[in-house]
Amino acid sequence: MEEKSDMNGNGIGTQDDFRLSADDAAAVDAVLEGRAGTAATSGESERESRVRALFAALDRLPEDKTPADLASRTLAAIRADRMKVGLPAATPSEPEPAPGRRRRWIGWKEIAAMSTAAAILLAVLIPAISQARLSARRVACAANLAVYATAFGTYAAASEGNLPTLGQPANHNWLDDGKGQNNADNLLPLVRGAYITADRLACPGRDTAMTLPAAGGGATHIPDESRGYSYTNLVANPHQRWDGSAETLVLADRNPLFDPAASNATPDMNSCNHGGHGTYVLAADGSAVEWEPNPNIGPKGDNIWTAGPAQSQRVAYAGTESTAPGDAFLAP
Amino acid sequence: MLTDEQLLSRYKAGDDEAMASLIARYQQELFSFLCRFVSDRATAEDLFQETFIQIHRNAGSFDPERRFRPWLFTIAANKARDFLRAHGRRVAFSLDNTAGHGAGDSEQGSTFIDLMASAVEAPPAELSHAEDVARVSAALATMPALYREVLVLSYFHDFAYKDIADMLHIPLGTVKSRLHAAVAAFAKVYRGMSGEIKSESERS
Repeated sequence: MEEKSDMNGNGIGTQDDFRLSADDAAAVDAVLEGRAGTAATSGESERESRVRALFAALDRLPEDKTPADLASRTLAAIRADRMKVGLPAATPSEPEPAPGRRRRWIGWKEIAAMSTAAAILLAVLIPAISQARLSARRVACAANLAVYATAFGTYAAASEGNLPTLGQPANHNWLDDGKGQNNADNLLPLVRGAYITADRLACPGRDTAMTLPAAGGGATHIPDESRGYSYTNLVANPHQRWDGSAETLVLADRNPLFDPAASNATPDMNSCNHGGHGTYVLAADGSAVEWEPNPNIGPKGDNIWTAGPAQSQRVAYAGTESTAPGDAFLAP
Repeated sequence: MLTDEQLLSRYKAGDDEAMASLIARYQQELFSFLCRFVSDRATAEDLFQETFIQIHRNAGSFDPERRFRPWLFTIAANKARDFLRAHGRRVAFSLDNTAGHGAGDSEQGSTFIDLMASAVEAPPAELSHAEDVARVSAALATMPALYREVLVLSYFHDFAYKDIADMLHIPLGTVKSRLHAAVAAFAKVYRGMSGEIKSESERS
């Protein structure tokens, strides 16, 4: 009796050992070791046939089919084992986020920092952008007045040095009272004569929508929203000419005292065309378009917005006021 | 076709496909062996993986002069035996039925079987195939693991006695005596269970 101590409860036989008779044992050895002839041979003993019959019962056990994924799982386990052995133990670092919970990439601190940066950037950029836009408009306005300079010169050359005019209005009033015309309407002959296009009547610095007057001979009035410039007052002073003098101020940005956009304007203000920062003025020499930071630029420093000497108070004009010789008065 | 040993050499040289080939080559045979040894598919799957992980770990120390297949089954048998030992498999039914009719017990505590005398025959015709398979399976599962191991290796996997002796590191005589005991145990249990069930069906 061998290895009784090895049974260890692994199956039956904890009390009994099992023995075959010597003949049976020999028959088992003959069948198993002489397996080349699995089928019964003619010389085989009956005892061996009995052994084969017993083993035939074992053959009735079905083959245990291997799970389809066992090979792949085994390979994966080997790879995992190799990683475990091949890689150093994980060092504690930033903890992994819990499953199903993604890391919050942008927190309130990041948002606050980005907002601050954006605010600073806008604070720097917006004035710069605004300034750039104003500068661009001023350049366009200056270019516009340069066209006027050429137009005045051409017009004057064809009309004995005269400035364009519609002639004296019947009521001798340079201020539109709903019945007559404004002084700046005297610019319309430039449009009629195709010295300028109608859109030049408006200053590019103003944001107002523009209604162009008819380009033909019928137009006698410039709509208020399209009136961008103030013209030397030819009603109050009909003797002015395109005389080539730098002191004869002919055209300027719109007079704020008669501008609906500046109801509380005073004579010391600049035109509203360029944000009140200054005024473009064209003199009869046509040589340059000057950017003037204040309106007291007439001969002897008189105010270009008013009739008469410089004054700080707003004057209510009737439209019938005249000007002294040499008094610059650029009227709407 | 590359031999098993050549495949293992390739795997040692870094060819992962070689391991895949070895697994594919032996998956059916090794899985069947483990199923018959431990009588549980899920356990057999675990042991199958553990066996090849062991192959992977020990590939470097494998002697190319040896043969791969006995080595594989040695590892698998060791794993299965360790599992059975750790889980203390015990059998629930008794062994009251004895197979011997004329031979009797030659020694105290031992069941002596003579196949000629006990006349193990095919199961009765009224037993279904499924019932018969269940009996064979139970007879195999309930014999001592040491017996079952040798019987499965020898009968199902055609290992020669000498190979089994080498694999299990036991003398050739021990292989024989375990195998003979396995056959005796199977004969007794298989026939005895058949008789028991037959008598139950007769009662019903």
